[in-house]
Amino acid sequence: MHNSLRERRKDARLSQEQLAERLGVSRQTIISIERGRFDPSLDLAFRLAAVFDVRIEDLFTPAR
Amino acid sequence: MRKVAIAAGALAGGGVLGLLAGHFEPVRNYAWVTALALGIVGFLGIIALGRVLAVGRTADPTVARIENEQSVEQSWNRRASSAAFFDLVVIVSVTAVFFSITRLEVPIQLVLGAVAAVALADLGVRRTLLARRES
Repeated sequence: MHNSLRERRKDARLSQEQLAERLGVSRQTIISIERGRFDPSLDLAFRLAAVFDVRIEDLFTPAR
Repeated sequence: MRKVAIAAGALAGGGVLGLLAGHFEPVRNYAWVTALALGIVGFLGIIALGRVLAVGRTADPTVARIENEQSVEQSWNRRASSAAFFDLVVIVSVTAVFFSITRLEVPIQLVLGAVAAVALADLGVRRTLLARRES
């Protein structure tokens, strides 16, 4: 799964630590998602999308 | 309430285990040490088992859903545990065949201890490798 989390986070001027805190997950989780090494659960993906006020499909796109 | 019941059961179970171990300890001077050690081990073991059987299975479904694979660490733990369990089945099978063929007489606690140590080490190594590879 591809995602634009890093770009969105930087646009929102949030550090990985701050984003992790807002979502209640570890910073390592954010790092792994940004690097495409961990696909978040649907619940976490929705919460991520809510943080940036975008639709979930704007944040995540299937790997082709 | 469930946690209190588990703790009480563990206390009772650990106590009984400790008393039995102390009673059957061949060296009378060491009876209380054996009783204490087995009592603590029994207490902790029953607590762990109780949490897995009672709390883990009947926890609030909302909480269980929220906690489901929320973090990459949980993913690593689950995958490492699954793989280590499979390894453990193989190790136990091979060990059983080995002792059946060789007819070696080794104290069972030594064999089980070795198997448990290997399983724990396996789990630790797998968890560490996953974390290094995916972080």
